[in-house]
Amino acid sequence: MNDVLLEVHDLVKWFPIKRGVFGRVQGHVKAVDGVSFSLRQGETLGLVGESGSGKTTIGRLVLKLIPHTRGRIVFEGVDITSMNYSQFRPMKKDMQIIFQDPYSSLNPRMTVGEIIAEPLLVHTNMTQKEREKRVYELLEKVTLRPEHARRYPHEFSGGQRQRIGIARALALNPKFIVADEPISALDVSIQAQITNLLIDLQRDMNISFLFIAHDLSVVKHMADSVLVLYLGKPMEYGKNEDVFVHPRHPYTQALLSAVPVPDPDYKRERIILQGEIPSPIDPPKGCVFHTRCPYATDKCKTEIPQLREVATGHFVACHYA
Amino acid sequence: MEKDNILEIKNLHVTFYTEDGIVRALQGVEYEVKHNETLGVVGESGCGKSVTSLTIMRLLPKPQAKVEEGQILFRDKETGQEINLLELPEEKMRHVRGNRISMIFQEPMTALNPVYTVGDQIMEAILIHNPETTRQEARKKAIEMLKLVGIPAAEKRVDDYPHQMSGGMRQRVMIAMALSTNPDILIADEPTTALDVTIQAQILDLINRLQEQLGMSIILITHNLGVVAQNADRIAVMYLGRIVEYAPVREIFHDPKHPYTQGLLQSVPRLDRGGLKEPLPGISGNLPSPYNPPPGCKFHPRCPYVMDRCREEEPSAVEISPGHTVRCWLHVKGEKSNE
Amino acid sequence: MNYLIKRVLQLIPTFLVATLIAFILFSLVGDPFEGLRQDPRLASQVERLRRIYGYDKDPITRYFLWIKNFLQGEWGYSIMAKRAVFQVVMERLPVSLSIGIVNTVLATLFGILLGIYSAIHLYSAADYAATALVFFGMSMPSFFFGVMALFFFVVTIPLFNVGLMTPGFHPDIANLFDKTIEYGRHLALPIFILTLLGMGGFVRYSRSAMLEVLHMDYIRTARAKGLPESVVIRKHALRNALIPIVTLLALSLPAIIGAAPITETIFSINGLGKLYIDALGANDIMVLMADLTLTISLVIIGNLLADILYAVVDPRVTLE
Ligand SMILES: Nc1ncnc2c1ncn2[C@@H]1O[C@H](COP(=O)(O)OP(=O)(O)OP(=O)(O)O)[C@@H](O)[C@H]1O
Ligand SMILES: Nc1ncnc2c1ncn2[C@@H]1O[C@H](COP(=O)(O)OP(=O)(O)OP(=O)(O)O)[C@@H](O)[C@H]1O
Ligand SMILES: [Mg+2]
Ligand SMILES: [Mg+2]
Repeated sequence: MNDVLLEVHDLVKWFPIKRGVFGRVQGHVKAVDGVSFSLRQGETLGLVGESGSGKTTIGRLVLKLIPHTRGRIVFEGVDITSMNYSQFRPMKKDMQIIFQDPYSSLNPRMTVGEIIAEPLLVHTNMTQKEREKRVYELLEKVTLRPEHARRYPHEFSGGQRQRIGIARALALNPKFIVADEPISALDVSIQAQITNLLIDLQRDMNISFLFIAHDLSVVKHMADSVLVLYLGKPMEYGKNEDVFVHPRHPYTQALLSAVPVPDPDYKRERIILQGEIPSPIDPPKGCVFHTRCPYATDKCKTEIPQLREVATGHFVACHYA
Repeated sequence: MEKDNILEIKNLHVTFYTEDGIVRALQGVEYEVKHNETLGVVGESGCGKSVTSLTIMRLLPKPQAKVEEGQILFRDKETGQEINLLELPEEKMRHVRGNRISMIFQEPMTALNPVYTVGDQIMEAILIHNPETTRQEARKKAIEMLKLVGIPAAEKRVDDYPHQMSGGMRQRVMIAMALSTNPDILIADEPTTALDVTIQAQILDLINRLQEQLGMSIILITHNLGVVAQNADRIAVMYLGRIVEYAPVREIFHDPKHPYTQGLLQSVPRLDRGGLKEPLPGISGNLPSPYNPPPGCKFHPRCPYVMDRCREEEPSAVEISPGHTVRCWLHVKGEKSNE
Repeated sequence: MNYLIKRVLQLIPTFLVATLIAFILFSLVGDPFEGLRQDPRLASQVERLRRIYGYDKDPITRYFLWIKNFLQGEWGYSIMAKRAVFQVVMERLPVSLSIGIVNTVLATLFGILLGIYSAIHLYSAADYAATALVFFGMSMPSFFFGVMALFFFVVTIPLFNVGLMTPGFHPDIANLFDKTIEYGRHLALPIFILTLLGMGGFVRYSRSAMLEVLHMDYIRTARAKGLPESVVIRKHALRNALIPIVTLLALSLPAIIGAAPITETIFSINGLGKLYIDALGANDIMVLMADLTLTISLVIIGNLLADILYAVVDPRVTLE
């Protein structure tokens, strides 16, 4: 068994909503509301949920890119939540991010070589020669060619740009990478290539991924454990098999039944959720999912279900799970 | 034109003349749409899915785009007449557009005009094609359509502006607008790509229900194989301006013949099978540039079964079983031995 | 409505801060009555004026005194004209307004029409002509253009007139019609020049606003409905393109009192622009202050107008 690399306890992030000239706080977007999970070395945790469920916010909180409201983030046994910038800085090189949009996340005025070398310049004392060598190594790792180092991002296709972004994230040999929808913007055949690449890299370098996606098929393929979010709250959390084979939460079940399966003869019970996702500014009372839940009772409208362990390592936030 | 077809596209060639060069966006696209059936069109970005549908609607951007060759035959349900849409005078075409053939687009966020109410925009479609309708009647019809697509409190929401609605709601409005004229064909270009899975399921369910209820043919364009598998009767797989395989849905998914179709199917991880972190066979290489396509078969640089002939000569479509055509040298008789 | 009242009330501090800054800056220039002191006969007068306008007190007190006076129409004393500033400004306002209003209306009207036309007919001859006009308007210095026009149409071919436009403009011409014609002969050339030079910005702005709208998805939706192209343009594109344009219109409100000191000087027209230049030369601070305050007021009103119009034309924006 691998060691736990990252632990998150009861993480909360409220974004204040400001109005008017003097920015009076009028309320809060409860973007992340009481999320806990742990991630082992070399494993992948999949974060799934519909838009606005707080996936990206969790990714940014864990990297300390935005301040949190409450909760604890422990990386390699060290509580990083209370650290200030200079204390946290040396740890940053172990924690990297890959973005969804390979088009906007690369500086168009830098060559690919410069882009990949940038973290080396900031975090190491490597000489120019050493950096160059490292850039070539990294390009090879993501199956690009050395001569690509001299070109600019716009000369590359979407898939190639995503490889460049991955190479940059790998530059400092990180232990942990947040991959925020790394394949959503790519073509189907390219998605498969990048998925394979990420899996290979994980195996070779023992990297842990926080893998954010709204495509459940991809998460099922990639993630050792899965956290299902709805309006910033955890609905279900467990190992891949727990969530995908024995889902206990009605929301997880509905999500799974909504995924289109590329087989015309695949038969299953379809649960079509009614209504829309409520606003996270004013989430429903009680269980946040009750407004769309096909099984909701009066209890669900008033009582907030706690995340309970229904089987070893399998947690569900539902009164009736 | 076969009698159960409502639309037949024949040997369609469309070229874009741009400052960066010439793009042969469509090269001999052919498909047909049957009465009350759904045709799924799949393929990766830039393969020509949208250009095909814009050609049907005669909405290609002028002056860059030019239809070089081909026919689009459409059967007018009322008169039973066959017409070639490409030769129709603009005035008559306007009567087809939005009336006999309607279209919905990918981005429900931007596809509605922000300065008019959704009611106005639906009524506009009704009024333009039914000049004898009064505004009152059109409004009633608009509300009725909003109810039909499942918008609660339709009488009130009819006066909403698009920004007052969520993405899913707006896509419902788009559908209401497209169907308000009782079209014979609905072209849905990536209707759910921008939506969440649960909302996608709602919208696809709605489209299917309305097809049964109102009776119409649908051209469903998507890059999501799952979406067409469960909603289409027949599939056209496109690659770089060509239809490389065209077959009934079961044959495409259970017995794909073209290496591209096979690769595409092996590119997607699946909910119903496949192990954790198993490599996906997929397709190697990148999509070729449309400005500089490879010679011969357009797929040959990425094809695992590439032969010499593929590099030089482009295969034409062959019918390997009734209603199943493939553009691949592997399936041209007498070539099998090379495999 | 409540919101509007609130907005109008919010303008007051903005106005005060802006004028205060202007006032303090002018205070740094020095004592406006210094020049008058040279004349021993005026010595007692000067002391009186200094007291009246608070020059024996600190600048802040003086500012409040000035504001109080200003609101009552006491705009100070022009050392240049040796008369009340209010009188001087009011005398010149009609001239500047006639140039400013006509030129702004023409420049915006033709600029917007041409911009929209060239966006619809992209790469047509008219579009290229419009682009040429934009370049011309943006790069041609008004003094050069003005002097050239002066040379050709006043000196060589005496089609138009120049000269001081004083209060009793041409008392020799009694007939109102002839008087108007003469008035026009004086103002036509500067108006023409200002319009031509001012149009460029509007052409460019409205062309790009319209082009942007024409690429929007909802335009494609409108076409896909089967609407005739004319309806697509008039109903769907134009209304949206007008949203940014209307804002620009409101923001160009200050131009109506003539932001044309150079042209006025070249054509020797006694408008506010020329007054400003002259006052700068004469260190006539109270005139400068009055002129600036008028402009500040129009800028502020223009901004409010822009906000209101924005909410009127764009349903996504509400005045709450
Ligand atoms: N900087 C911010 N200020 C205010 N609200 C924010 C901010 N960032 C995110 N939010 C809100 O927080 C909620 C969660 O957003 P987040 O981006 O984490 O969602 P997500 O799950 O990543 O969604 P998506 O699938 O659309 O990427 C949303 O309601 C969003 O509007
Ligand atoms: N306005 C245009 N000007 C120039 N080329 C164009 C234009 N529109 C489309 N094309 C070209 O035509 C080809 C087909 O484009 P099309 O939009 O049909 O692709 P698609 O299959 O719909 O892709 P996507 O999945 O990205 O929507 C592409 O190579 C594209 O570059
Ligand atoms: Mg996100
Ligand atoms: Mg498309």
